[in-house]
Amino acid sequence: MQRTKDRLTPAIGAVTLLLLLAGLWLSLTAPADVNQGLLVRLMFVHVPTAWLSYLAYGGTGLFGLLYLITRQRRYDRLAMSSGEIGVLFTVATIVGGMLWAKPTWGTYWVWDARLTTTALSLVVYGAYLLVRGLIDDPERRARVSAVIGVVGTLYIPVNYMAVEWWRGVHQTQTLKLLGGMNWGAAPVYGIALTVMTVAFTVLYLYLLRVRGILAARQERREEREFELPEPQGAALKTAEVRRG
Amino acid sequence: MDKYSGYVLVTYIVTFVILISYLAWVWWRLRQEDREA
Repeated sequence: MQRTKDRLTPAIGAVTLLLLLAGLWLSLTAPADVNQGLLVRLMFVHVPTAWLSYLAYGGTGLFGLLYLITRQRRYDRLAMSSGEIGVLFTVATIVGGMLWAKPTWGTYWVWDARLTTTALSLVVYGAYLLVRGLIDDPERRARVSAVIGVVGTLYIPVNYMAVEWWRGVHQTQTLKLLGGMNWGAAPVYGIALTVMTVAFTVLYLYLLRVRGILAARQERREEREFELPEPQGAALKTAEVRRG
Repeated sequence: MDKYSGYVLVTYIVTFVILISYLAWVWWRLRQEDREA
């Protein structure tokens, strides 16, 4: 099959790599904080991973909504890709958060509102991916998961605002989306955090694109299998089951 | 290096291992799909 040359994906990949390298250099050379010591460097990866998971969950809701409006399957593929990326980066966020909590709070985990809602987002989007795996009919799968994705997205502001709405040990938002910016720390921390956050935002776009390309190819194969006469189609499916 | 460096190191390693593993999985699946096309 003839494919047009994709120049955009490698270009986004190259920009992502450059930004990540610059961000890593800034983060890992940032001076020790007067209170936290070198633990402050953990924030330059913990905050961007949390940001990326918010973006990804927002993407799942947005693409799900676009699917429900237009019924174009590419939106379903993007919604699924975004949900998968969100789950992965939520795991990274939780691990980073736990490792920051141990030396500062004295424990890896407390049932604080932010921590609990973050853990629950894994349940919501884990269920989203699970439901997709349980439905064979592509149209029904896309429709049902789009509804879950849209409803699940309502959960994101709750998670983001949890540090304001409930009393807990987690500090308030590092990246404030509402109200004016107020950066009280050393500028070098702000630069490192900004570069890493931009890098992770571009990384999200890159991951979404490559996972979307894979999802499109998987979908084409699924369609080919359904078009084949029964014995050949069955043989293909059996071979796939054996491969795992 | 201070007493917190271990926590920082593990966080960076875990995050980038997750990222690289995911990219490797996508790349492997893309190759498989290409072979079957």
